[in-house]
Amino acid sequence: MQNNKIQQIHEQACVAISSALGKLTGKHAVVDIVKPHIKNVRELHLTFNSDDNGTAVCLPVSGEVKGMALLLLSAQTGFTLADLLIKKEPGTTRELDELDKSALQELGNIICGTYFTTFANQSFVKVIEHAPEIKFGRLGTLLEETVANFTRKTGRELALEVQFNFSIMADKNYCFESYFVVLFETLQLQAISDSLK
Amino acid sequence: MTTKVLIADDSQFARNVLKDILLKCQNRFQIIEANSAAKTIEMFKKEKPDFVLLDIVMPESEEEGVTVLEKIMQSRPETSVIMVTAVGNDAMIKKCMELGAKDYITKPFEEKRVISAIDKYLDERATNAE
Repeated sequence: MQNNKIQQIHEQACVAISSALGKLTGKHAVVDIVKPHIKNVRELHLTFNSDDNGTAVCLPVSGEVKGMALLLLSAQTGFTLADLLIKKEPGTTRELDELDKSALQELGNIICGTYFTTFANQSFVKVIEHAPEIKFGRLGTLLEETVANFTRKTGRELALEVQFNFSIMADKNYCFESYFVVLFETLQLQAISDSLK
Repeated sequence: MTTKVLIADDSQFARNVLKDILLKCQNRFQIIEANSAAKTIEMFKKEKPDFVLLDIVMPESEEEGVTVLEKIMQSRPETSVIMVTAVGNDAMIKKCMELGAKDYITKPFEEKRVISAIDKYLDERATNAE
């Protein structure tokens, strides 16, 4: 498959997410984008410990392309982000309350939405976003279950994977990483890729 | 004069962020909230807000906010609706503006972007009242 254009769109979308993360937290943020590339779903593996507990936000899309975006955050990253988003002192959050969960769900919604906005505008494909879902548990299991559910629904999939390393300048308390992956049905992605040549 | 605002978003966090911004404005706002499309329509009919801050994706179904926008425009077209949503694709922006939304703010937004949209609405309202 000629994925050059799709890869280009993927990279642009990741840059847009970096910018969104900075704006969302209201801090001067530096976001390193690691390994934005396309691979088969079977080749996916977490860049941090899959046995750790954490948070997953997934946002399905339909329209001219069926897909799903998944954001995974370690438990500690979730606590740090909750502090930032709710404007609490660093290190305050040790357990997520309902407002913390709502904040992380909204963060996932915005990150996934930013990705699909760039994707739709660059590929000229109609993308309909559905409500985001938040889940908690072992990170490896959250990834496996999300991929398995998507695979069952469509049969053939490609994954657009990226890792974000996020740090706030001048504040050592804010430094974390997240894992973000977008799943698309292979044939639909192929059709989009062909139409963009 | 108090301005009645309806904030319609399924996210408690998002509603709180918008409420905080409204409370920072010099104008006095009476804020009412809705966390679903059905609740938004119910509150709109009951409370008759002056303007609405409206999300697009709600749990009931995709693009539910667009249906809500259509219903608001059919019922009281003089209502000012500002879309506030993570859905930022060009086609959706065009659709909502054609349906009668006054502005379209994409999440994540800067506070001054929301304040500027509200100020614009208040200016228009003052001009119309003269």
